[in-house]
Amino acid sequence: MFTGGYTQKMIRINLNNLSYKEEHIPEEYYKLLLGGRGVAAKYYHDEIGADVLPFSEQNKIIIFNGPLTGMPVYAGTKFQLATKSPLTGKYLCSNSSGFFGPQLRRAGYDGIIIEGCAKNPTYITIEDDTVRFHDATKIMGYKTSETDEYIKTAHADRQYGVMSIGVGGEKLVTYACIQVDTRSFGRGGAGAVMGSKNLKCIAARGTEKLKMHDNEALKKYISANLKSCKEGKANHTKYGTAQYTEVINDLGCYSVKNFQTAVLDNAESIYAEEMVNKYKVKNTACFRCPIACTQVCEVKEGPFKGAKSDPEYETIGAFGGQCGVLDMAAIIAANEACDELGIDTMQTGTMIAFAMELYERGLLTKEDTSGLELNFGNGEAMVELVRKIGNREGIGDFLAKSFFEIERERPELSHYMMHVKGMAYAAYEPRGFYGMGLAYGTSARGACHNVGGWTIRDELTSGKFDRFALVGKGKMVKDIQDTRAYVDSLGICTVVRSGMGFSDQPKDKVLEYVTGYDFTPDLMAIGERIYTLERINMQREGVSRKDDYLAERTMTEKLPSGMAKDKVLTREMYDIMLDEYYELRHWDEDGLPTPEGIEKLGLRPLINESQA
Amino acid sequence: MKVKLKIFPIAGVNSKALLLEVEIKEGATVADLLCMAEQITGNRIPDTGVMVLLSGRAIDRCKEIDTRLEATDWLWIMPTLCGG
Repeated sequence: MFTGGYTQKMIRINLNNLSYKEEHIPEEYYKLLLGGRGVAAKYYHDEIGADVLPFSEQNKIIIFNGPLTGMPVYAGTKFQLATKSPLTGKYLCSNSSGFFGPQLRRAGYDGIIIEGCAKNPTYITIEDDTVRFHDATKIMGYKTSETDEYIKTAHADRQYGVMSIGVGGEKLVTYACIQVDTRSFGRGGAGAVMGSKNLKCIAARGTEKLKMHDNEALKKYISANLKSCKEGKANHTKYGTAQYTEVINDLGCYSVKNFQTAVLDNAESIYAEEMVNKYKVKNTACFRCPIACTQVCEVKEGPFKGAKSDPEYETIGAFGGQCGVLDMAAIIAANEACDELGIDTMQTGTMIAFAMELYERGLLTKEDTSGLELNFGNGEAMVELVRKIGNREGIGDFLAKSFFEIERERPELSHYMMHVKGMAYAAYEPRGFYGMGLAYGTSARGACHNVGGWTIRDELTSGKFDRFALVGKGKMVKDIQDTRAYVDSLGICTVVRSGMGFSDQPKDKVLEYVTGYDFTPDLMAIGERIYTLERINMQREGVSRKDDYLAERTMTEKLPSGMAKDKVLTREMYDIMLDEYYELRHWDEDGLPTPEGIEKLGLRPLINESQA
Repeated sequence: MKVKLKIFPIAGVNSKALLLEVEIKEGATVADLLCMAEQITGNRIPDTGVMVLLSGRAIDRCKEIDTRLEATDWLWIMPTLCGG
């Protein structure tokens, strides 16, 4: 059926005996689930049971490209991962940019499944159809950038796409990430799963020619739309996502001091304008991206002199807003430390903000913090604490745990934990626009603004919805989630997707030019199918309505200032949105997919009844 | 009467956020304020990649160009946000 795009092959790697084999991927999986996130969710469904623990040998790392990964489209850079999360204890989907996915495709593969656990520190290279296992003893303890450089030098090829973990992953920080060149599989702790398998790094390099159904038509389409795609995103090129900080803070929806408020006073010093004017060195771009939104920044003087990183909106929100730090240099340094240690900036910032609130309330003392004065706004303490978390030293070891582990040890702290299903809120305050609350609650991996639904455009800036309305938000969030689920399965970046016709009303023929199959009329249905498949994965792990609620603070405390002053999202208000959402998803009132819904979505052939 | 006008940093328009209180005549419209913004920045406000919020509500510039402004109104000219 497919005459381009997919290779329909994957590699299954067994770390127990350092072996591998090639497997065929059924065409039906692509037809029903597209690729990337959808197909990874299907293999997770079949192979990672409810009783598998995140750090057990039975857990697997499932990696899949979408049909557009590596293709000559805008930003065909994305690839997807599924595993059991050490942060949430449940299904995790995660996506990353970088050059690994495109190189894997050129090597002839759509995906990889890694299973078992290596006896000794190991790294893997995939060079076209040859997989090699190498001793990684020498590079254990390396920073992620050092590992990247080591691979490219040792194998004398700078084209390698490299997925590596830092010390955070080696030491099983529950939110360790996998760094992919300079991007990452950020949330949920996939890096710690890699660490638990004694796997320091995987690198791919391919030289095969890509197959496309109609390369000429694709080229024509891409070049015809390039100018408007670039012009429409000119601000992304100049400021990146950092440009959102000022807008969101002005709208009273920012993440501030562990969500005690939603407006950060005197925040000009961490706005994009300041970042670009004072610290920006250059732009960099992901694979084949015409926008190049990454803003590489460097600190030229002061206590953080020499620090270099590329802060995005979420990272600035985590370290600036959440920790109340108004020093962009400290944010750049904290970001760099996270990248090199291989830990998620978003969860790290919120864990530090959590500790800062506890410290200011006297629930953590200077004795607990190894002498650090953890007041909001203390940038030097924040950066030091990032280092301690990545290395699991002192208070850092305590904060490297999941919220659930901390709650078991100190249940009196649960009121201050800002998460859903163990994953920290993103840098948007849900009391400032209620649909974001529903997005956090129903996201397929915890409080995520991407998988759960980036409602900013619809609720805050498009004029389509009143941000404080409840009715209609169920449909809005569902549509955004379904769109994102199919976009994540394509292998492209969400920033450029509209330039190729990928919206909630998909159009144009990019997928047909690549694969030879016209998916376009079915894309939203595919997104919906993926979302319910992921819910089934989580349902068998015990997730139901009780897990879809927001943190206690969101539901009980009014915001003290800003445009959303006095707003709160009570349980009763939230239930109005949640009921509407469940009904539209064909999930029952406890949030469980119904047999009728499963039938309607065409999921029956994909579900393993004994697993479900 | 006076209304508040904020122009966020927009590539090709202005590199610094501007928050102004501008004097307008009774009956002034969205078009008048957009014109004023172009005079202040010295640059044309592009049709793509930019949105306009009128008192917190996003407006379609083509359809609401003649909407009259009230004394309590505020207008934001900001970049289109497109994904986290």
